[in-house]
Amino acid sequence: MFDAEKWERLIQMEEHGKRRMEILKQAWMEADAEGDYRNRVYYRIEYVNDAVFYDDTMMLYVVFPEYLKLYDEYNATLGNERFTFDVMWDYKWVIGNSNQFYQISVEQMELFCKDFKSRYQLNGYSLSAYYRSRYDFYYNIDKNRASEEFEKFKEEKRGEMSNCLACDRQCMVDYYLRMQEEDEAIRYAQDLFSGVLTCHEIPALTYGSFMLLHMQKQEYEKAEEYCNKLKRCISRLRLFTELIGKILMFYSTTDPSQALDYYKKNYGWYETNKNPYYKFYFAVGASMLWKKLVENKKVIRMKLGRDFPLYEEGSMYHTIALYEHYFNEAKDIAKKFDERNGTEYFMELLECALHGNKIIQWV
Amino acid sequence: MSEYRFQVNLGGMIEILSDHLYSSPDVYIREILQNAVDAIVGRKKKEIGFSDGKILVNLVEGRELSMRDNGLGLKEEEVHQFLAIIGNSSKKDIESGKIMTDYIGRFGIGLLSCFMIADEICIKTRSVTENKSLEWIGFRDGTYTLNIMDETFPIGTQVYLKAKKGYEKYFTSETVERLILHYGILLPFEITLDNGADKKRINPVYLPWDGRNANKEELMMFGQMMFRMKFMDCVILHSEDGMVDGVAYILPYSVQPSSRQKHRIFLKNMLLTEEGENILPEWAVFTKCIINTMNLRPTASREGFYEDDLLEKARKGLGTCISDYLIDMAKYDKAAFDSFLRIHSLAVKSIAIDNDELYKLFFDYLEFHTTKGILSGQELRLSREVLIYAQSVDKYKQLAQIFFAQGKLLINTGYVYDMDLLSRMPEFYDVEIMPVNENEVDDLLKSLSIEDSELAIDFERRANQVLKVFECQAVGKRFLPSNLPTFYFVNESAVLFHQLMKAKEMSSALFSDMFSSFSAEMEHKSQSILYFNFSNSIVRNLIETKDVKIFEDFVVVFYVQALLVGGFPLRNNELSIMNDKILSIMERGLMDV
Repeated sequence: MFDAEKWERLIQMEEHGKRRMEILKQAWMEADAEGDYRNRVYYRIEYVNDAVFYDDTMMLYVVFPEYLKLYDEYNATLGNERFTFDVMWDYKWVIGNSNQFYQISVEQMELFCKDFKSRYQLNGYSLSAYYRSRYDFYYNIDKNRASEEFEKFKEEKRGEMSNCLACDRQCMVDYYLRMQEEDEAIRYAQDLFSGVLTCHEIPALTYGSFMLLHMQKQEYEKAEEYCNKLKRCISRLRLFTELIGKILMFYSTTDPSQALDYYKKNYGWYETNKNPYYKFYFAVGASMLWKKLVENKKVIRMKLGRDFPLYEEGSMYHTIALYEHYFNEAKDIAKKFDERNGTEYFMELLECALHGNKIIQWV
Repeated sequence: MSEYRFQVNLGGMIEILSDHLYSSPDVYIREILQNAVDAIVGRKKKEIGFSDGKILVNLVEGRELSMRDNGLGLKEEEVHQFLAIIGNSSKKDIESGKIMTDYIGRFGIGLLSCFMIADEICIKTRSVTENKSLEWIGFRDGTYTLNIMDETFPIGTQVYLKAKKGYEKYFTSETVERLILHYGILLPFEITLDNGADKKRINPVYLPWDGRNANKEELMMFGQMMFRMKFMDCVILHSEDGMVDGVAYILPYSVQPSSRQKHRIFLKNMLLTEEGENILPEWAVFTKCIINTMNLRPTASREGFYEDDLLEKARKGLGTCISDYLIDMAKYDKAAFDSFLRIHSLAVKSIAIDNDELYKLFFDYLEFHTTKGILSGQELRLSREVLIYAQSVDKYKQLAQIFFAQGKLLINTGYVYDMDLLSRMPEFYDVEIMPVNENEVDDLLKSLSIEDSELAIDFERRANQVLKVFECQAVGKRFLPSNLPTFYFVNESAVLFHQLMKAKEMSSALFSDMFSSFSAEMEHKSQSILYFNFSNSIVRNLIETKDVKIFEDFVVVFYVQALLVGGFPLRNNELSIMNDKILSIMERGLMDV
């Protein structure tokens, strides 16, 4: 007999993150063996929630398909609106994060979207999250198409499946920053900065957007203000995002010693994370850092873990080797994204950051 | 185009506002107390030398209440302006100086709450700047009267209320005292309650943390009284930014670092909320606070403050008070710090990760699970071994027995924050850390003797043929404990690869291409090895067996059993394959009997 209470106790005792995810995994394996359908789905939903907010988004793609199928097979058994809501809510993350994985082709994304849309329509949910995800996905592929999706997002009425108000507001902020309508972006950002609208990722993402804006404008003092605030949010929430890489890019542009410090604190995260989009920005930042240091320092002494791919027993590292390592990593990821997208956006971004010494638009 | 005006039924509006705007009739005390406080603060600002603010509450038990202050009072013009026009006070008034910023409450809409418990509101007042004693009476229907009194009323304002039928309980000494203390316990001037039989000051003469050397016992009692619970200890809080003062009480039980504590927050000495959230750093989850701020800007919901620079600085200041307290405790009171750590180790770990100074200070005291028992941070940093760690509890469980049997150190960093803490060690100490990997495991397992090496060539070849279907490699080794026949080890990529393959089997075709893309990247990086222990008697027998079927069955059983022991997900009907093999082995065993 499946002891749901025991698992519930164990899960409740744990902080969000890796350990809790492990317990959830054990719990679902036992629920699988016992044929407890409700908990097979429930534990997976909880696991994905932790993966998305506290660990590695990749696990969303590993686990979600399993419980979508379970949900489809046992909907009548599970049969309540809450389960439908939770599963469909997570589906939103699947299409919403697809732009971050070059492994998901455009054709695959379209298949997801078709399935997603029909499920949302069947349940009478608003499609605002759908259009927003498509806007994000197509932004680096086809700007006109992205704009069309954005207009649909704006026109669509919000509903219970919409992203939270803060996140949707952040989408507006990013849109206007991309359109180079800074005043409008600031206007939309006010409630995010003041804390009137807030959520797990906001205002961290807002600070990140404005940090990059001021970096592009070479207003480094302002950028630093946002960077400091952003760093506090990230460490407080243990939030793992592309912002870690973007902070490294900022420091690499303005203050190599800070950049080195930040690099040493976060290089391990890069090695274990599986989200290529997040990794790309870190690899660009690290390339920028090492390229700068190569000019003055051939060898650097620092303690890195033995699992680091270029680990040196004597803790002496050739800056050129580090530069090449991260540059090749960034280039590899950029090529894969560009290949998927049919553009040269990521390669251009890398080239501009490293050789043109300028930051192209990337909010 | 014609323009029209809304018609407002004032009486109806008052009824709606007074009966539905407020959550409970309790708030009438807050509103009239707030008006009294504003008036006193206003007079202090206006009249140099005035410092003796007082509020006197007279009660006719269960029937009548009057609250008199010796504040600014109101002029005739102000009576019309503030008492009779709802919504007249505005941000613009504050900014233009018409209403001083020290005023928290406003007459007008706040006063309407009195209609919940009384049918009339009678206000007597004399302004500090106009020698006219006025009596204003407001009625529920939206009308009011204003008379100039013959007698001279003292400077200040008195609100008089008579209980409506059914609301007598809001006019008892017990209720009124409780409510005044609830909303105004921190008010810095005398509040006296006189019920005819007894006259006494009801609020503390001084704040427990204010103006003199704070007495810890007194502070603790104050906390106990306010929160109705006993705390471990307390810390006085002060920040010039936002003019914040208060006490943080250390919770006597452990809390999740991601949890949120509700703090009791006062704005300008009046209770703002009992559910305040964002004023302390998030890591200070082990505290419950009483805080008064004179300067921070509350949000509309009044449960927190606007996230602006001032709040950020105030939060930092309060955080410093708490971290200084912890630093002192760690340095000077080891026993107290140990008890604190026993309860709040998770919170301390979360603080230490992001603060270099606190990291160095606390690291020695933190505890880690290892194959050599629970070791402190100090023991780890003084260890001469390379600090090898397992990144997940499952991996730790899988490897611990091998490490333990060889007397080797393996640290379990699967628990929350341990990984982050350990990975920062090389920044501060001369240590080497590394995650456990296939090389480490391989080093731990002893090489075979020359004779066994020769035997292993054939054995591994045969076993690899069986294990090929599971994408696993067989390797012969010797290791302790010798009663362990096999040991399965996979790298992270292999774990993920297995998981992807299993997920693909379990999912609909919609996701097939995606899984293929993901697993193609993982396949070449993944490595899974089944180590056979040549010191184990069953394995030795297996090496020698010529029976192909027996050999195959045992290898499969060992493989699936190793997966089960290691907590790996099974796929491709691995469990049923093992069952078949076990039955086959049992059948042969019975035939041999």
